[in-house]
Amino acid sequence: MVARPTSETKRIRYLLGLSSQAEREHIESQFFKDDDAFQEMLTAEDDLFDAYARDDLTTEERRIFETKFLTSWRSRDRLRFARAFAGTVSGVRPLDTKPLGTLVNIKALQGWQGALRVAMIAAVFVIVTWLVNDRRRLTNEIRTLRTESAALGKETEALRHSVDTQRTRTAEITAQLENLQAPPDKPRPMKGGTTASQRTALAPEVNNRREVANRRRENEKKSRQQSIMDNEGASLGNTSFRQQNRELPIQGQSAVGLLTLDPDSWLQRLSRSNRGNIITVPTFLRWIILQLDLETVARHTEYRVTIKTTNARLITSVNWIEALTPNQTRLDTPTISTVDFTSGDYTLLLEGKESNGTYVKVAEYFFKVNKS
Amino acid sequence: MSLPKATNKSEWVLTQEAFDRFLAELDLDRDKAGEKYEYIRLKLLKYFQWCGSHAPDIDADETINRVTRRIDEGQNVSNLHGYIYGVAKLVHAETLKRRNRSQVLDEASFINLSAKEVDSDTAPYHECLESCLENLNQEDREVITEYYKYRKTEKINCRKRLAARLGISLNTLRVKMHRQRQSLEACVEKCFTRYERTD
Repeated sequence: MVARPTSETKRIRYLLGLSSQAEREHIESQFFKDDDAFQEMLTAEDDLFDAYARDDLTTEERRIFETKFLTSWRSRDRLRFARAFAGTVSGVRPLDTKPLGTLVNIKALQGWQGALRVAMIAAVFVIVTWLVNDRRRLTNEIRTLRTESAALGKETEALRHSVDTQRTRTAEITAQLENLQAPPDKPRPMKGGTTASQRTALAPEVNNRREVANRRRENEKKSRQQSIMDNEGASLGNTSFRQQNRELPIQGQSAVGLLTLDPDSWLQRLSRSNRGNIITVPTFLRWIILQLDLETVARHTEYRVTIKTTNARLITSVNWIEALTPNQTRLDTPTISTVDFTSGDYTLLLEGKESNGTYVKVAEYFFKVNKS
Repeated sequence: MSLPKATNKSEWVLTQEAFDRFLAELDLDRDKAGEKYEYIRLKLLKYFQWCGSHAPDIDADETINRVTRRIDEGQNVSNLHGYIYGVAKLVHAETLKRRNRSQVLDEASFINLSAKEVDSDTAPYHECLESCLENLNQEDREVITEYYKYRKTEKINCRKRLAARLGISLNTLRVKMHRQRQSLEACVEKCFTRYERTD
C-alpha cells in the first residue's frame, strides 16, 4: 500500500487486523462514540475492497484481506461489485471540479450537436442542388440529342432520296448503254423483251450528228408551226418537244455513245385522262421515250408496255425493271423505235409483273401519232 | 425494527417492555430511537466483522440483549455507547474463548473463497451495473463516479474538492457515497439475480 494519509493508514491497518491493541481500542471506542468516525471506517472498508480489486494492496495485505474478508458469500458479492464498479468509473471522464462545469459541458455538447445539424442541412442542400443541376443538364442534353436526331433523320431521308434518284438514273443509263450495244433492229435493252417484228429502225449514226442536229432544228421549227395550228394536246405538253438532256453517268467515260444518242431521243408525256394525246414525231426521230403518268403509286418492280394500233396490230412490246422511288407516280419507258409508227391512233397497255410472274393491267393509254 | 434474538444461555427472556426501556435510553423520540438502534446494531455488526467473528449478527444481538437486560434490571448507564462497546468486547472475548476451547472448527462449514473465484467480468453483470447507474440522476451519477474514480493520494484530494464543490462536509459526503454505493450494489445484485434466474 502506497502513500496513504496517516489516519487512512491506521484505519486500513485496523481493518486488516494489523493494529496494536491500544490502537485498535482507540479506533473502536472512537467509532462507537462518534458516528463520523464510524462513517470513516465504513468508507475505509469500501476503499479497501476497491484497493484489492484494483490490485493496489501489497502481497501481505492481499493475503490477509482474502483470509479475513473473503469468507462469506456477502463479501464475495462485495468484491464482484467493487471490481465491476472500479472498471466502470475508470472508463468515465472525470468531473470538472469547477463550479458549473457540468452545465458548461452540456452546453458545449449542445453546441456541437447544433453545428452537426447545420452541417447536415448544408450537405443535404448541396446534394439537392447538384441533383437539380444534373437533371437540367441531362434534360438539355436530351433536347439537343433529339434535335440532332431529327436533323440526321432529314439528312438520311434526303440521302435515301438521292440514292434512289441515282439508282433510277443508273438504271436508265444502263438501259441506254445496253441499247447502244444492242443491234439496230433490237432496240429493247431489257431481257425477255418482246420486239415488234415489223421494226426496221436504224440505229443512229454517230458520224452524221451535225446532219441530224440540223434536221432536228428544222423539224422543231415545223412542229412549232404545226402546234400553233393544232391546239389539241396543248395540256399534255406534247406540242412542244423537250429535249432530254442526259447527265453523264458515273461511268460515263465508258459510255460515250450515250451522249451521241441523246439528241435523237425524245420524251413524250402521256396522260390517261386525255384521250386526245397527240405525239408529233419528226421523221428524223428514230427513238423516243414515253413518260407515263399513273393514278396510283407505282408498286411493281417490273413493267411491260404493249403498243398497238386501234385495229389491234402490234407495234411493239417492251418490258423493263423499274427502280422504284418512294411515292413514285410516273414511269419512263425504255427507248422505243419510231420506225414502226405511222400517223394514226394507238393504244398503250401498261402492265405490272406480280410476284407469281404474271402481268396485270396497270393502265391503258390512247394517243395519236403525227409523223412529219 | 425487530427485537434481538434471546439466547438460551442467559435464562433471561427479552420482553417488549425491556426493549422499549432500551430504546428510551437511546432517545425519547421513538422514531429517532429506532434510527439510533439500527445504527448501533450496524456498528456492532461491523465491529464483530472487523474483529474476525464467524457470526457477527449473532454476536451483535447477544451484545444488545445483555445491555437491554442490564437496563431492564435497573442498572444506571451514563455512557451508553461506551457501555455497549464494553459489552461487545466481552462478547467477542467469550466467542474467541469458545472457539479456542472447542478446537473442532468444521473447516467445511467455512466458505473459502479466493479472489480468483470471484468473477465480475460477465457482460450481464456489467449491463446491470450500467443500468443501475442510469437509474441515478445525472448529478448523483457523476458525483459517485468522481468519488470512487481515483486512487491513493489523488483520491483524498479529489474527495475534498468534491465536498467543497457540493458545499458539504467530507464526512457528509462519505455517508452519502457509502449509502449510495450500498444502494447501487443492492440494485446490481437484484438485477443480476433476476438475470441468473431467467438464464
